[in-house]
Amino acid sequence: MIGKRSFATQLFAWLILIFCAAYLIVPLVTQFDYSLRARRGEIGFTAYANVLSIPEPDKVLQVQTAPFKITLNLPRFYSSLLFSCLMAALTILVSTIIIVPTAYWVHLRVPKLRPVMEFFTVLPFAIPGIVLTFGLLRTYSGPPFSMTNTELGTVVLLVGGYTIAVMPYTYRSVDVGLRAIDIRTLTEAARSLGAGWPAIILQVIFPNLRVAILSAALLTFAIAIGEYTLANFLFPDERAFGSYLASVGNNKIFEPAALTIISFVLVWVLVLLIQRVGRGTGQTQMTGMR
Amino acid sequence: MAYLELNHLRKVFGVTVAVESFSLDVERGEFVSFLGPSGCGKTTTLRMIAGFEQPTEGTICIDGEDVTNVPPNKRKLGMVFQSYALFPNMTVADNIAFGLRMAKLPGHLIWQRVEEMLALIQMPGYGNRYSHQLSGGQQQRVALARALAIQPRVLLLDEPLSALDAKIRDELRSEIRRIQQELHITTIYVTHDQEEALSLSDRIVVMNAGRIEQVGPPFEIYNRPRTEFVARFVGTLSTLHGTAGADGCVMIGGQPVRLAQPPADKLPGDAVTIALRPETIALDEVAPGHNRLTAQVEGVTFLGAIVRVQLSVNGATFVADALNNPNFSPPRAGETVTVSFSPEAARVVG
Ligand SMILES: Nc1ncnc2c1ncn2[C@@H]1O[C@H](COP(=O)(O)OP(=O)(O)OP(=O)(O)O)[C@@H](O)[C@H]1O
Ligand SMILES: [Mg+2]
Repeated sequence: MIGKRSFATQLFAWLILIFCAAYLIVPLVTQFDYSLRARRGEIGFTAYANVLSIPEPDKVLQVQTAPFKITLNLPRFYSSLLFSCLMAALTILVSTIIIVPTAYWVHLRVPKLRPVMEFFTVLPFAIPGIVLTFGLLRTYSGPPFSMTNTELGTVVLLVGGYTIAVMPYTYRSVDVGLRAIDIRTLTEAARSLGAGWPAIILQVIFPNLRVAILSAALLTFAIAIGEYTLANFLFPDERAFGSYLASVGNNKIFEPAALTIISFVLVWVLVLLIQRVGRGTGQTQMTGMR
Repeated sequence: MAYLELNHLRKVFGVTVAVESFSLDVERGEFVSFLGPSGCGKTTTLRMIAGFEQPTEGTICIDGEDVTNVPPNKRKLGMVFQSYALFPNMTVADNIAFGLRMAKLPGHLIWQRVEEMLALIQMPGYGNRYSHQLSGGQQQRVALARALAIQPRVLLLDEPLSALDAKIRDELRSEIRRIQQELHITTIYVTHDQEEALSLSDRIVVMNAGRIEQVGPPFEIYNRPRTEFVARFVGTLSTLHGTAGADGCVMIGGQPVRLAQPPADKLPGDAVTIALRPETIALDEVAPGHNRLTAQVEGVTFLGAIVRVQLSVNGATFVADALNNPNFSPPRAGETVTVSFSPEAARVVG
């Protein structure tokens, strides 16, 4: 009887899985198929070439990539991707430096405040991106801040906005990671061995949160790289990858499909890469403390 | 002046008084256990010594230095936790080296010390393992090595064996004592297990409800408990209720019992409770000068080396322990027996 029931349950589970997979994969396949038909009557990678190839010198776009004043002679695909990757990396750096010690401190010293922290960190979910964008612009684009006047100020504003936008993911991920290890005792062990706070955070807390930080970083990257609203308002020259995607989507026919596939592969490779890096210590963390 | 001095320590958490007027002097190289029931303040006292809790009142001196306001990472103490608390991201060697790195020792000295420590805990060759590749007992050995590597002034252990199973526990217990004697390190050991405290310690501090009940060597704590709490908590205690009789004896169910120290402040007819260790009650022969009691056998429990006999006099029950002996057949339930004990074995507890 148990076998029979479990067979029915299994079948149901499989059907759901197949349905979901189809829901996700079919559009991808049709996009891919469409992206191959840029030339009438032919199957080929023309659309991809249009996106990725370096055009003739006179058609090269000159793009300055903040905050470094480097002029790159690259197609916009590369320059905007590079710019957004840089912004994403900065966001990961800033949010990790802010969130990890904060979450650690809350766990260690004021565990009662954890629900409050949780509430505040999910606020960005409740606030639409456009509201956040206008709030930031209204506050920081005029006196006394006037941050949008300088390239660096604008970058700071963008990274700051992204840091807030990804906070629900980063905080949660780190929070779960902290719950998995007995940080109080580990902290005390380290202290009794003569470690000061910087040493504890860098040598004990960070390494043991590696998996949590990596997964937070991945989510941050995926969000920051395709973000449109904030990037487009702060950099109206369409410097960011999100802006580029939007403009291609508006002006081209086959290229958007090619771009979709390329972005998909890009993120996918990234996921694999991060899992690879995370695996080494991942198991240590999962079974290390019992 | 003692090596470690605790002066009138007091710790209050909100409305809970966890530790109260705790004063203790520990000599260099001494092994002292804090023994007491759950919640009596053992851990809190240890954590005050370690610096993880700030005393509400009182001072802590180590080797003449007042460390009451010194942060834990500056106290040079070794700490071993019940949950091992090895750093899961580091190998055994890196765990042991952690404190030495914090002390900025040169690299070759660190590795030399790590090797010494691995030898000390009899785990050479385990340096490259991670904690999840070790058994609980091995993890605790590494934790011990890690704490000892920095050559701490005092070694603090908080129920280090509680998470281990019986056999490993016994093994590691003698291991801890051996290492302690080898290094001659001043040690404070927190436990609620009387057997651990009795077998390991030079002195035992019995605690109850945040206060010290008695301090003394294991032999004295066990044989001359100063309070009923100590007598009951350390070892098993048989109590007998009776009344004070004439000329200093105690009447138990109508039978006179003579004590080495008769109840001083009782008038004839007052209620008196006397206490005995079960093993001081003899079931077979009566030595000259010993007290005799006629009692009913309620039940017999065979515990291996010991045979525990439940007895009753006038409906009040107590137990007697006899060493197992193939030539001696224990009494059966329902029988009436004569038991005996020396006047020195019994003491008035109420
Ligand atoms: N951080 C704290 N906040 C509030 N109360 C505490 C705290 N730590 C300990 N207490 C209280 O202080 C008392 C003593 O606790 P302590 O942990 O020292 O007991 P213990 O003797 O170690 O017990 P156990 O054998 O269960 O470990 C207990 O009543 C406990 O509830
Ligand atoms: Mg405790």
